[in-house]
Amino acid sequence: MTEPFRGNTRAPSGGDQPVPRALERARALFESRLEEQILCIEQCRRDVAAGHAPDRALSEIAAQAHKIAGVAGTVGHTQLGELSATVETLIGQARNEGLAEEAILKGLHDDLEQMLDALEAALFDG
Amino acid sequence: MRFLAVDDDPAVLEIITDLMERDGRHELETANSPLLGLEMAQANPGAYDAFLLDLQMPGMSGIELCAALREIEGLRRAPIIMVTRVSERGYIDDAFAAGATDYMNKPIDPLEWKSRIKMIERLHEERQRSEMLAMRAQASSPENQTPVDFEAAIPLHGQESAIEYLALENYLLTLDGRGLFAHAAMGIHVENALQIHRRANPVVFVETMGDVAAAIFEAVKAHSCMFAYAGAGDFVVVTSRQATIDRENLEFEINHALAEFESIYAADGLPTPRVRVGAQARGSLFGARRANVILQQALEKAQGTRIREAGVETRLLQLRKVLA
Repeated sequence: MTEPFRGNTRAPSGGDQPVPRALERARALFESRLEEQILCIEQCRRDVAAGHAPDRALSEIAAQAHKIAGVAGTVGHTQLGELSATVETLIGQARNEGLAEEAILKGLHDDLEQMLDALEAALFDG
Repeated sequence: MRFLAVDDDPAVLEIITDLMERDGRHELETANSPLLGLEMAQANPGAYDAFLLDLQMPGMSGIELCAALREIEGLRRAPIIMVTRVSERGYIDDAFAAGATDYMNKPIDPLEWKSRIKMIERLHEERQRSEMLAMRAQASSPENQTPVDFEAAIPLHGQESAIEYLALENYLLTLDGRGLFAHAAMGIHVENALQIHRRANPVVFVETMGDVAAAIFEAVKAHSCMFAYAGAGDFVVVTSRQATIDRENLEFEINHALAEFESIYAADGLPTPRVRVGAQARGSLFGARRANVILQQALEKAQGTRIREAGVETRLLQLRKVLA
């Protein structure tokens, strides 16, 4: 069961930087995977909240953020890249401090929301 | 040049493909898993001149892949660039220790990409030239061997903790001010390197510098460190700033280890290598000292006698000319 995409906060703009013509294919590929990534992150969020393999679910959120942060900036989604990098870094830091997955997700709420908003903006606005 | 890019993210592989196509001068193959990349390289090592590796991949990390590629005959000197978002120091240290040549951050900046590819091209050309020289040297009789440039930073393959000088420079360049401050460099100068270079054939000279590298490794292996041969009988060891390495003791240990082979060197008509260890050169937290400056200072501190040696050599050459 998937949740509808949220739209309750102002979404940042989608592609915020011009992309060289040569990277248009990469950008299209990146954007074609966004829906799947949003659904994956949402599912993992629910898994952490429900205590279903929370360690694996949080790792998956960090892995998705890592992947997005590694590509978004190159294909014109600079802000999305920065927000994703923040989420990845915060998860890593919180884990190093030994915090429980649920507590990490709670502390991460606003940052994760912003990242998801930016993902949706990139998906719908291109 | 022929590149192999390995990344589990198809979007990254697409970016690399797009950038390579735009450049238009190179061939590129891609692998979406480290195991596939390794299989491709093992099956046909001659097919690739350089590698672009992601660091975090499922099944096998980019560091493990880098180390495995270095084990393949024919790929020991191929440029390996880690292309990754991982910025933790430990990963970067491990990547260089595993044989990485350089490190590039994601997201990829197309302008930075261009300059890195140019750097890889220069490195590749330089390596092709030196490999050709080495092959000629090995194929010919000792008296006809192509000389090894005394100043050349010969890579010492197969020596644990030894990396190429260029990779050591690149490693230090990845450190920010605080990271650089946490490191120190020590120069180790082979005082009679020039004499050995003149008397030994090229292969024996390279082997002798390899002996010195092995002695250095034995003496510093208790500390977490990396070292490289910088050419002209100079080695440089990079350690943590906190590493308590006694300079005189290190010098004694290396010279003592080399002295054990005195009779072998004598049989070849060579003097036993004799090293001098310089004081540590350190990064400055406030002075923004640059990585290459620290390496240079470390080398200069160890070279105290080299300048005198060079002076004597110059005078001898002048004298020979007069006598001729």
